[in-house]
Amino acid sequence: MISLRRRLLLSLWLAVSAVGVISAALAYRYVNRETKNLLDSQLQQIAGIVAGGGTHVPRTRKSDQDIEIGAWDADGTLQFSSTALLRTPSGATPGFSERTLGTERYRVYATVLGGRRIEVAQPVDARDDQAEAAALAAFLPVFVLLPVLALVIALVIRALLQPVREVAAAVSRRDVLSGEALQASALPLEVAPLVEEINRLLARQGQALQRERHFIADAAHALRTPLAALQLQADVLDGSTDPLERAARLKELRAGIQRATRLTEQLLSLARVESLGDAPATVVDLHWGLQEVHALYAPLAAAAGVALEITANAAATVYGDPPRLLLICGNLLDNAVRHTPPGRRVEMSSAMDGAMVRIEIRDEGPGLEPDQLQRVFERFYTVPGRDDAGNGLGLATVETVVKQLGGSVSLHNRTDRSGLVARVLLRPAPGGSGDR
Amino acid sequence: MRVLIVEDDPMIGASLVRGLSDEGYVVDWVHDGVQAESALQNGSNEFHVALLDWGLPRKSGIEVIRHIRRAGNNIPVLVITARDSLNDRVLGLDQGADDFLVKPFELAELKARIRALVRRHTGRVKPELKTAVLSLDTTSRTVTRDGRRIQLTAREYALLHALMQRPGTLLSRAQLEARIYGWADSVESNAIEFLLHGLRQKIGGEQIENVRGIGWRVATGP
Repeated sequence: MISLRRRLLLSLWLAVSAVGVISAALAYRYVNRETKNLLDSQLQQIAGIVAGGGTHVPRTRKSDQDIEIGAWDADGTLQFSSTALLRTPSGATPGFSERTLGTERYRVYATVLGGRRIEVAQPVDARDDQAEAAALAAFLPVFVLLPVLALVIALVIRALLQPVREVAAAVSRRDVLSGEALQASALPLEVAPLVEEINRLLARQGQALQRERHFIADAAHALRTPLAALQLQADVLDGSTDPLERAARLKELRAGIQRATRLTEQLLSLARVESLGDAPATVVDLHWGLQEVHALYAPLAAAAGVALEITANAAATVYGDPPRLLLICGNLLDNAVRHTPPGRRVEMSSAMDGAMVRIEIRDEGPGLEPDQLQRVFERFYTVPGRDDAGNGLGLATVETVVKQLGGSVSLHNRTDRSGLVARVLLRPAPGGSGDR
Repeated sequence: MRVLIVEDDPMIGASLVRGLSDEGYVVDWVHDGVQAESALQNGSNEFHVALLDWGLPRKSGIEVIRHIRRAGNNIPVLVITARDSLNDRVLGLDQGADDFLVKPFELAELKARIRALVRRHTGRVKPELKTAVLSLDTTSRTVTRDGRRIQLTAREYALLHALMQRPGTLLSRAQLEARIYGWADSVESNAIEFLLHGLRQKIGGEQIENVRGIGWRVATGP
């Protein structure tokens, strides 16, 4: 993972160092050249002094120390020489040139003034040394100041990123289960949106966690009754030695196991459905779906002595997928068949209903008290006083799925006769509409 | 001993009836709070203990217990519940429940708690009922006379148990019938006499005294 701070630091350091090195190099070159020009003009000055009649050059400056002078008449007679190397003219052309005097290279300024030939010479090495020293003096400060600048940059960046580090520390300190929001007010404009988004995420996560906790508590609670039955059924089976009695008790135990199994299956189904999240972008053919559900459930209904019929089937396509459509219809049909007495029938139909597609499942059972019509959708809620009431999960699961698909589900008592109507409204998808 | 079960779950209820009948208890089962209230009202002295489910249709367990306590019925009530929070327990005990059992539970524990409740209710510490000669152990369900064990049928045991609950107290035929037969049982007119005859043969005729026209009691003296 990249560190913003390290990147900022590195790039700023690199940029500053590059600028520093380039400016130092330029300064070095400039000062070096200027120093040599200065030394050249010094040679010229000395030549001038000698031409003015001076035979002695006051060597006061350090740069003067190694300067040698020679002066001759027009006829070539030596008038004056500061060194044995210039007893005779070096033969340099007037102006500046480099010559070897003795064993050393010299920079020589030769001129003819007032009939006199004058040569002023300085060792090239000495000149180079002086120029180097001057240039170094010009660029050294840059190198001393660069680390200082780097340190300042580091401190500034550190101070700027402090709020971000504080948020990170707050996040790392927080309890996994805490839904508390992070403090975003003291943050820079650029970071605050990120923290606000994190807060929104935390809030959503907190709600999901809360739901999960309730679900687990409810599930554990709901499992207690079938488990208590199993425990007792096993105990009473254990307490009997009569073979016939034992067979009867074993049968009861098996029924208890079936009930517990069904409950866990429905719990799993609900948990699975909840984890699916929002509606998929896929569509499903409702006409096919109803026929499929009919094919699946007609034998079960027939076994209970109930006739299952499709009375109308719209050629509609709805948003959703086959598993969820089958789950919705299957759970509602299961309820309808369970509450319908043998010899009666359950009807399924689908039709357009305004902007939605309506699925209805009508049974001929006892119906519900008006105050129960809403409550039965609550998880684990069962209608009191009914042995066939189920475990209170079927309708809760249906409602969860229908809401995921952007639809709605409701129960109504039939007005034409006794029984219940389960009505599901789903969003139609473009591609099919109208009754076939 | 006669037990009232108030439980709406058909499987739990059926198993409780079987398990407690196996043990020799006389068991009656009702399925909702309203039935429970009328059962406890009509025969408040028939039952020795009531098992009450907390989540009942029509009238909740807590309403039932509040109602019968207000009516002055002090029958020991063992609450059977799937809710095990401290609040629920405190509330239940405050309303007059005598004990709590959280689902799921074992039959053996339920029986032990019933015995303990009845013991506490009759003011005895040991699980034994005694006269000068007879001793009845409610835990092992055994009867001994002078240290010698006597084999009794379930009905004979129930009859002796009813008589020994308060030694010396006279119990009428109707009272005895209520103690040892459930509502579902059909009782022959001379069933009690028949049972008493069998019982007297096993434990000794002088141990059960008859006060003509009133009822029976166990002998308290030797």
